[in-house]
Amino acid sequence: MRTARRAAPRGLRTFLAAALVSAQAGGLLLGAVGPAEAAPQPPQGVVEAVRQAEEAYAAGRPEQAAEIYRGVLAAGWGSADLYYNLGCASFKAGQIGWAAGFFEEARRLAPRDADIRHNLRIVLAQKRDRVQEEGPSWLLGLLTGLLDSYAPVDVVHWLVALVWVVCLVAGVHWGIGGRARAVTRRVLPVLAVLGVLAVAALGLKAYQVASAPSGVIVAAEAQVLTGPRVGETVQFVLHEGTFVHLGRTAGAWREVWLSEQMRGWVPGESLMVLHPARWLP
Amino acid sequence: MSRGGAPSRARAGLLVVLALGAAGWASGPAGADEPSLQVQVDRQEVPEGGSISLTVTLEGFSRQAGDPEVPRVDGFEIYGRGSSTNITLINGKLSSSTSQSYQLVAQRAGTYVLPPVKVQDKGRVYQSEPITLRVLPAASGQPGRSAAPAPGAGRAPGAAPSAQRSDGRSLYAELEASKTEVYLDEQIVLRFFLYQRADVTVYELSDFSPPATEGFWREDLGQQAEQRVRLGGDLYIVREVAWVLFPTKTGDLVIGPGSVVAHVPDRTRRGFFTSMFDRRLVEVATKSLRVRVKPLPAAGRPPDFTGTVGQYEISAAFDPPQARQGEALALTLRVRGSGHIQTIGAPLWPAWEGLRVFDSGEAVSVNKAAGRVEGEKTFTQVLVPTRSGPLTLEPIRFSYFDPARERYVSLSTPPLTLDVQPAASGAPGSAGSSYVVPVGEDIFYIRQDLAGGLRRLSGQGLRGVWFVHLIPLIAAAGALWWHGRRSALARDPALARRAQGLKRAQEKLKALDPAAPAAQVASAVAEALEGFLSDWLDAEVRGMRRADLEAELRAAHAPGDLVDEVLGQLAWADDVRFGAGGRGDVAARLAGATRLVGELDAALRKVTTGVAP
Repeated sequence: MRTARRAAPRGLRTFLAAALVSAQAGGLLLGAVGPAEAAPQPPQGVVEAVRQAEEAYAAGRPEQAAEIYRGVLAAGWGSADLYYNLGCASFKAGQIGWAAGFFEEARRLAPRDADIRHNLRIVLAQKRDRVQEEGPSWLLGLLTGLLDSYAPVDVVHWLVALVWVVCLVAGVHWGIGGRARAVTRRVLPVLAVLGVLAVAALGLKAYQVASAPSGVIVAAEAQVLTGPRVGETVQFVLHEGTFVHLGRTAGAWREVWLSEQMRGWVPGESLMVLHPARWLP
Repeated sequence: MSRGGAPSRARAGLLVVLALGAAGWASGPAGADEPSLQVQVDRQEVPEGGSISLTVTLEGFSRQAGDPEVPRVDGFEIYGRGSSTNITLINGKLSSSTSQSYQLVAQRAGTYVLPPVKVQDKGRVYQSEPITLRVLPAASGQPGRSAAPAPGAGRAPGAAPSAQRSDGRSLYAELEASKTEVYLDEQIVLRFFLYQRADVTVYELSDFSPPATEGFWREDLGQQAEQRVRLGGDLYIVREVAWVLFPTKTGDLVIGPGSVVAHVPDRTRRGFFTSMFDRRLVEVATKSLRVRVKPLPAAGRPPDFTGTVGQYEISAAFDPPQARQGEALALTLRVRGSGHIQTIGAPLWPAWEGLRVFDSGEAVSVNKAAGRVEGEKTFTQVLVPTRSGPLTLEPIRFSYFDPARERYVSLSTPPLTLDVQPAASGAPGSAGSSYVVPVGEDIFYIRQDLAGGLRRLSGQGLRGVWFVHLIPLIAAAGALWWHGRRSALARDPALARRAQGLKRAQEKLKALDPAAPAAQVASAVAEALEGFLSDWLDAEVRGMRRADLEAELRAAHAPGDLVDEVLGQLAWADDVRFGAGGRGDVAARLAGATRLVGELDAALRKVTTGVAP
């Protein structure tokens, strides 16, 4: 009578494991840094515009620099650095609200960038409104504070990388077996804990993104009305640089809110709508 | 127990306390050793027309004690203003005191003596000490309070109003400014007076509108004590509200008017049912005041003058008084005096050698109790000695404009000396190191050459290669399947044999040469078929009777045609090997056997339930 072990030739198992490891290593790389060949370079016109904006800023014409940077954005090109420069130019042009919005966009793309955080702090120190927001519980606040230095895409990277690693170890564990299994048997529980943490981090990040303001007041003064039309009662007044949460849209009006009680409508042109968080690399 | 039991007990307890208190009150102060008579005045100097508050306090007297006898005093008219009684019960000991208030309105300048106030109780006379009072001439401009007003500030709030005539009016208001021609930022006391002739009834005052003070910084001094003054032979009750004003611009500025609404009896409704509810409202308004504000003179303006107006003195001190190289200490300059304290400008600090200097801020303390704005402003500098040894610092100069003297005044601290001890070992500064401190804050500069980092905003994401991330999942699933299959085979040897039966049979048949001797082919075919069936049926088929084999195959639900074909192939092989059967078409037999094991394997897999091999 023949045994089952003889039914699975060693050559086949070795081949399968090697293929698995190769695929996983390549995939890990792709998942971590993204396909380099898929990032096209900006056209010469965009490069030239950026250079002109830098010259305008250096020559003390921040309004012109901001205008050019906005053109680059409108052409569909952007980066944390571009938002940073746009924030600088807006601030120097006296547009506190726009500066706050652009620095916040930059911060969301590169949350660990110290220069961006510094400039955002400087700008926010100059806004008039001090908003008393009800924060989360201390534990949730601590955890979201830890995650504040990471963009959503970073958390997705962690999770993807962890999936690759788990699959690699699982492949070794089930596909190769033997002595390797003694190692993988110890590694897999650790990976399971890491997986739980990564999923929890993803959930917290989703909460953080969902509870973050999605707009900023750019008008020097914006009256918040009870309804989306001129003539409604003025509930309170916001000033440029104040971050708000956005609600419904009614024509050219947008619902904003600071808290459950403090909500109302402002004209759309008095707002800068921040881009939603990017979750994919 | 009734529901009202507890409250009843509480009421009973209260009654006992009240009864004890009443008994104590009726029998005089329990434990009071000696009755006490106190006579107090709020001031002893008053200008002509001003008033002094006199309070007589009786403590420990019996109920039979008479009212205090306040003697007449020459030069004053005395008016009673009411009384109050205070009863306290502490640790079962009852004590009571009665206070009676009087107002003494000064009539003539001079020095007078208030004779002792007397009280009779149980046949005994108690009396106070005499008090000397001084009435100053009204023209002297001396205030009615002990605290003198700032030079140029005129009469202090609470002092008698300057009005000497009433023109016979019974209820009127006036504005009074301490000065009507002032320098920029010079302190003025503005007083709103409401005059009410003593025989006029006013039920209530309402809707007070302070005078408009555009062009002035205003500090409230609040409502002042009520006074009684005699004007043109009539006695008036005077109420007062006061402010301190600091002009913030030059030119002719208008103050006021101020007004208040008085609720007075309605004399038009006379009759039996006339009551205090029959009232009419009278608005009593002042006239406006015009104040001329002069600019500060350009002549004589010191170079270090920073706009401070008033009367000040300065002092400077180190904290801690001892200094050590590399360690910070504070130098505080105090500017104390009367004027617009909040706007006192910072001094021009000298450039001191041997020190690093950091501005540490300023603090303001304002006091308006004296009827004017006074106080102090402190300016603090943090100093870090950069070398040890004695240091003599250049004095700090401070200049201000004194509107009373109409000239600039420059003050200077004495030279400031520091004995700087050598730095502690390892401390900053001991090896010539220095602190870096921020002196300004702004946003950081833009980033250059950022074009290379630009990305398509709309093209972000995995750009169509997302499926790459399915690879690990698929691979892991495959490995898991592989692991499961191996486990299943290891657990079930019959299953493992079945899984390999077809392969082994086909290999065996494939290895045969169709041109080989018929007996050899027949033997191999029989062996392959019997081996395959043994694997599938998990039973040794060799030596099994064909009828038994047929029964086994049919029990395994093998299709009937295939069973017949198996039996036919085995019969042919037996014929070739053991009988006289002809060779036949060996190649066809071999091909047929190969096809047969394949079809049989597929058929048996179909009918097999459970884990498919």
